[in-house]
Amino acid sequence: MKQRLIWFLALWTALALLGPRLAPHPPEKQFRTQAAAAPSAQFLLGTDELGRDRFSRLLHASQWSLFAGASATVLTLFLGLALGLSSAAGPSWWRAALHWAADLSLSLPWLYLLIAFRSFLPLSLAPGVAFVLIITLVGLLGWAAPAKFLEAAAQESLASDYVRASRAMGASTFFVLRRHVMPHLGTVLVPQFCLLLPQYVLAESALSFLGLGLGEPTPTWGTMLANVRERLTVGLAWWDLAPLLPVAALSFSSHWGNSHREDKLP
Amino acid sequence: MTKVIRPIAASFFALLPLLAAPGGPLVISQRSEPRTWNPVFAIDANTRDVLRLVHGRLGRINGQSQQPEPYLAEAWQFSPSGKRCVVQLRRGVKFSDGHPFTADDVLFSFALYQDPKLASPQKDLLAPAGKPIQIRKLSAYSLELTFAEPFAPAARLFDGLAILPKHILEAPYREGTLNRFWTLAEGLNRFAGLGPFVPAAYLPGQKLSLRPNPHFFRRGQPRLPGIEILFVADQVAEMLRFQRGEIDLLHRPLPKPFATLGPNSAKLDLGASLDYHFLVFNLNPLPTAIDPGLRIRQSWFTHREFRQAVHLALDREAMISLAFDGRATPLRSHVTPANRVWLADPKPPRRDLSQARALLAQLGFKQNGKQLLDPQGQPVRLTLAVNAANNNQTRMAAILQQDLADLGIELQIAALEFRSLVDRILKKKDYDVALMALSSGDADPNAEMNIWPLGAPMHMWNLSAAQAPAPWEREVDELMQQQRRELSPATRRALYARVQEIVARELPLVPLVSPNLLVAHKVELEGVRPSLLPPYALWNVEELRWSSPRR
Amino acid sequence: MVRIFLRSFSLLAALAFFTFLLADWAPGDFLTQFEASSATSAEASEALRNRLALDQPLLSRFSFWLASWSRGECGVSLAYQTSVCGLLAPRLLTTLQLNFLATLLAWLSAASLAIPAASRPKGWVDLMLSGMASLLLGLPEILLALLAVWLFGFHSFLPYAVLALAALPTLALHLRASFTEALAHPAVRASQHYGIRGFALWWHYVLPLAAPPLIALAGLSFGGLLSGSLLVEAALGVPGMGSLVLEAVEARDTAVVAAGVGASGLLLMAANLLSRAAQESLRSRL
Repeated sequence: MKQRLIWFLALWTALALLGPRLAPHPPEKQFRTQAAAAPSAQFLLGTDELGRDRFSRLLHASQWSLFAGASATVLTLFLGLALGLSSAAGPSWWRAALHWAADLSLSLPWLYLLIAFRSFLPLSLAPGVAFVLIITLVGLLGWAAPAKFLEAAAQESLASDYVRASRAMGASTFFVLRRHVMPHLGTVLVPQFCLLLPQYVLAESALSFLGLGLGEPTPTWGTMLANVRERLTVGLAWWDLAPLLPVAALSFSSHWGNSHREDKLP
Repeated sequence: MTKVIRPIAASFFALLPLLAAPGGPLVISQRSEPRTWNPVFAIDANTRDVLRLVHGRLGRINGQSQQPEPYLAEAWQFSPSGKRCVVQLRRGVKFSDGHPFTADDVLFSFALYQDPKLASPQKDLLAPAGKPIQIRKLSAYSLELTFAEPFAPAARLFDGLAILPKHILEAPYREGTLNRFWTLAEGLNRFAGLGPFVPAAYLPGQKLSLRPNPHFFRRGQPRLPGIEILFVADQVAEMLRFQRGEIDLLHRPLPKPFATLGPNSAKLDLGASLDYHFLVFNLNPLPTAIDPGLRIRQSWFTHREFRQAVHLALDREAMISLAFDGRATPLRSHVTPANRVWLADPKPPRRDLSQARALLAQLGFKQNGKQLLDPQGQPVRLTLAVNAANNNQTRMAAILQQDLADLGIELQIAALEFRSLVDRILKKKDYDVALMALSSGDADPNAEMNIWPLGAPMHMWNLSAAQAPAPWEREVDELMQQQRRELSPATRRALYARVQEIVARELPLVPLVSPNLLVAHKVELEGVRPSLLPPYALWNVEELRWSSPRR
Repeated sequence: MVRIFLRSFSLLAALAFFTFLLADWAPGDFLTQFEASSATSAEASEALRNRLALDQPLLSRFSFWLASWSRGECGVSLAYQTSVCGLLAPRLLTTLQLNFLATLLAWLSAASLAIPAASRPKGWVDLMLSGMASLLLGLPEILLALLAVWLFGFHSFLPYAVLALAALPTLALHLRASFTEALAHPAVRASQHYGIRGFALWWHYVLPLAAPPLIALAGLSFGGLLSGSLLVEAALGVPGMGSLVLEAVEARDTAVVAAGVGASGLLLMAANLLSRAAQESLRSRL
């Protein structure tokens, strides 16, 4: 059932690429006399507090949110995979060191590092560039949890009989990892990707609040979601909840793309 | 196990009465906990607001007239030169523990505030122009203050100085343990104060309860059975709890939900507050190791005409209606209409794009399609630094961006964490233009002394102004120093009017808007006469009361 | 045993030191807010900075913090001017109690969903679980908390429910995956052929097979819950460690942050150790 996964990836990639082209209005255009308007033919999902078309903003947001989420997830998994594998196959002191570092990394207040990093970047840097750099850092900092899962899975297959047999026949560690362990890690990597992707898309909203996101006027799902919060006090209308939709849809479909993989299991 | 369950259960049941009809203690909320019971060490506004409820002062500023009036003092008399002041204290006043209050307590309090070893943030207050006020005891109930030079707003000082109990604090002060003596939890049981309320209970992270001071000097007051201060993390949660009736009085709520509050709440919009939002351009001499592009950009906005063009291009009405739901007031200088006596020119500024374009053309800027080019042919692109956590300000920034786009200026918004923003502005001086807000704290020009004089700590557009001040900066400096010494109110007003005129012309700060002061409370709460000055509706807290006896 | 002790000790020391280091890198310090908002002269704020020892270099501030441990204080909070231990202890208790009950709630509900879902793939429970999991995964804790407040008002059970709900989807999905895998195991299939069903099947065959990854997950999920509870505490006004540390991070009250980070690190390690010990004893039993 790899098809589902491919469909899932294709659909969201298409949205990220085409979304902005389908938007009826520029995302930053302010219709100041029609602020916080209800849905109409002109504004399919109404407007926000500054009179910007919510539908167009959602479409534009898909680009940045998906890009940020996907790249951070890939970075995290890449680093987690490299460290997890090296830990499973490496010498025991290396494993101990990595576990130590993972425990450290899971508890440290990385917020400070992100804030410090932003303050080293020049202010005149285009917000997009600054954001990409921050996202890279966020992605790299998330390695510890997936590394643990991947290490456990790699250890399991390293302990299996066919690996022992292969080793006995003189296969190198690298060969064993590539040939026997890696194909099995898919069962951990893909669910991890599907779990982490929506999480990273949402993490962007926390980053924005700390001045580490894209900032105005570029929309992202995360910042649009954060605005929903303020609307709680004036009574939510259904169109206020529109930003929930793509995020929920993303996690729903990522789960769908990932589901029934167990069909493949022996 | 009971040790775990008990406090939880207790806090749960303690919250239950709040859900019933209003009554019992007045429930208010605060963004964070107070840090100490000792005003000598109070450095944040939240702590000071709580301390005002439990400590007394010699005088206070009347929230309605904005003028100082005696409180613990019976009267004071200034000499014609303005350098001497004799204060008569009320007799028979007692601390909350029953100990009598005398001039010794005042002397002791002044000594604490002025002790360099304690480094109290209040120390500056007692040293106008850097020269400490001398204090001398005349009798058990009278004192004499001596100023090095005439100090116009001298009587307003009393409002900021809580009087402390010598009989309690002297021993720890001698032992050098004062800073650990009145901490929030431990100080509870050894507290004595002169304010209308005294601390009763403290649930860390949750709430603080105050009960009436049995020895409060005003008979029959305070009229509330107590005060409860809940610590609520943000405005949204605060508003939700107010709407549910769990909070009785709300200061400065979000304007939109404020407008939709039901008939159970009294809504007061007092008009412009003392806060002002503004743009500040970086006119500082730049550090050598700085982005060379900033030098070019600075060469644009060092021109007064450039700043004026920006000022003229802004649509303040849009900011007010979109970011503040109509509840804000446009500004032409840093003096908001809340400064009733001091505002010189109440005319709101008008948007005028053609005049703005003319000013830019005068400087040699050219229009190239939709883009503005500087005299060297460079496109005009600026970065606006703004506090990311402040929704109003990020919204204003988005509006500004569109307004300036009409002039062809490309404004890029960099939302930063607050401390990073302050660090860039006050330390690194690495920014083009920033959107900030300041609050005057008092309706008196003296409250602005940390901003306008040369070398003042918040003279942020040119922090090292002492080296190369422009003529107008020098004039503002002189006017501000003069108004402080001037005893005639009319002359002072004229001097300050001139400051406003210069600021409105030179625009070191481009003033934007002042959010209105909003107060909401349950209709059953009586005696609310909010002040535009902090602590707003709580300035006369001893007079607040419930309309009918409670169950 | 000595190794475990050494490891934990070095980890805690590194946590504290890196917290100081990272906080030092971040712009601004404890007095920045004060300086930007009050009418204090540069000299006065310098004097205050001196009194609070903020003008000291990083290493001496760190060693000052370490030295305070010998007095049993674990640092002095800049904001509260009081011992961090006294500040932290009651809130740590609140947080632990909240997390413990929420974890229990989450595991119980996850298991009660995952067992029927795994026994009948694509049955209605399975579909419901998938739907609910994707929906909940799409809601960040903070929004979940606010939605809950909006729907139910402030109730003392809300933080528990929100935390449990936030942890539920990941748990339920993992549980279902490992149960499905275990159910597909030849040993289980064989025993099913022999007519073993219901409780006996699950208790003697499925659970032992599914347990090892789940125990690892338990260790991890407790850590995740702790960081999640940080946000929920702040949003729902639970007077726990999360809200205290978050506030301290913003205020650059480093002693509090370091102690809070140390405490959460300690919990994380304890959870890991327990889950590892459980895994080992299980492995030896199998």
